[in-house]
Amino acid sequence: MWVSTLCRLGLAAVWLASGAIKAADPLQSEVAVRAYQLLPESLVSPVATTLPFLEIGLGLLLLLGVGVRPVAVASVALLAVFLAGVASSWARGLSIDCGCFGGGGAADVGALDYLAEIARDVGFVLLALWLVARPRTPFAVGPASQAQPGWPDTEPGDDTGGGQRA
Amino acid sequence: MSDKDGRDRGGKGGPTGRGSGAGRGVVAAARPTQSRRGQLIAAAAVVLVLVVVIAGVLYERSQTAPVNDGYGSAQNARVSVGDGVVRVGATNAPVTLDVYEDFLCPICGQFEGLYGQQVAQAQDQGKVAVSYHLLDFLNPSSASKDYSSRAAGAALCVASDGDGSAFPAFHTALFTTANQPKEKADVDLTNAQLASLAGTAGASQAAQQCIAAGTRVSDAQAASQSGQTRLQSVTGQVGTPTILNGTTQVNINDRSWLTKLT
Repeated sequence: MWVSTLCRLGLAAVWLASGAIKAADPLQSEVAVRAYQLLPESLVSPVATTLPFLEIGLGLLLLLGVGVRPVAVASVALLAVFLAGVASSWARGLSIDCGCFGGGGAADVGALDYLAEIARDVGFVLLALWLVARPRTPFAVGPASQAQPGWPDTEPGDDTGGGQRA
Repeated sequence: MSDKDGRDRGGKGGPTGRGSGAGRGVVAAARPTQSRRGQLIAAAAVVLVLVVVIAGVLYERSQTAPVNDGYGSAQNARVSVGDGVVRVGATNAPVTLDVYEDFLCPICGQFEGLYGQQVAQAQDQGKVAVSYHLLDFLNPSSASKDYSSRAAGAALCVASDGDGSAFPAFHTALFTTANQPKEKADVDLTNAQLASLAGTAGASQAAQQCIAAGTRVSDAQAASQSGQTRLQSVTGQVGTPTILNGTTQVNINDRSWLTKLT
């Protein structure tokens, strides 16, 4: 339960920070998205303006503790997209900053930088996966995300589907 | 797991809802009103977050739309060159800005896309003059390793025509996403391509030949050196785009920075 709380607040902090930094510098965000050279030019700007607030939205939901499991699933999906983007940049021999927490665009990055970016994102994926398995925490707003006092977080009420047919 | 379930449910002493099968049912049956209220609060929270997200996206879009879109580049501004610095705008303009740019710099392209047309109108109206310091410190990031210098030299060739619309149009064209080479990419623009773009912008034959021959590249390199020195002394670093009003750096993330100056 406390591990879930740490994961929930940690992942919330990750999304809120990365979203806020990007939202505060829209010019840089657009450059960062364009640098991946994966999207047609017409989609670069819409993605650059939407992505920061998508991240902030996920962060707010995690912070409040609403729909923690679906939000965690969405987090895994978004992180998977980021991981694929970074890996494909590396594979295509691009030399770009991931722009994960601000920055972005062409930069002097080597294999170690790419590995560090990937390792960091994998770490975030692990946080999210833990929440998919154990979404219930104290002080959560959503009923399905609330830990029941005195109940271990593997309780039937956590919607894991496990143990419900006891 | 199941024996835990049995124990804990037993511990709660809940005879209610036991037959429902689903854990959620147990809670709901035990505390129906609380659960309903919880769901309402949760729904309200989701709606609130959605509103924040949508409002944020709309706001961000409004912030990244080009200012004064539709005006185009300057039409009849006074264009002059001194010491490799291109000045566009009336000699008696009340405000003269120093703009430090590198033709390879992506954020400079963003800056021109966002505010270029607003600056152009202010130049045409005589409200603002801009001294363009065309730097080349990003050369190493270009495919040819000297794109920034060649593009800046090309701009000097065009500006030397003194034509009121050719330099502004060429300057705008070099910063469009369609034309601007990417950093660390495999290709950039050749002198011939630069000359052709200049021709489209309305530059003279002489200017195009000047570009094709790279005649002003060394001038541009010298001007870049002095520009970087000045930028370093005023702001403590060399970064583009930097817009100075005297020795004050302008915050271009503030969408109304230009209207506040004019």
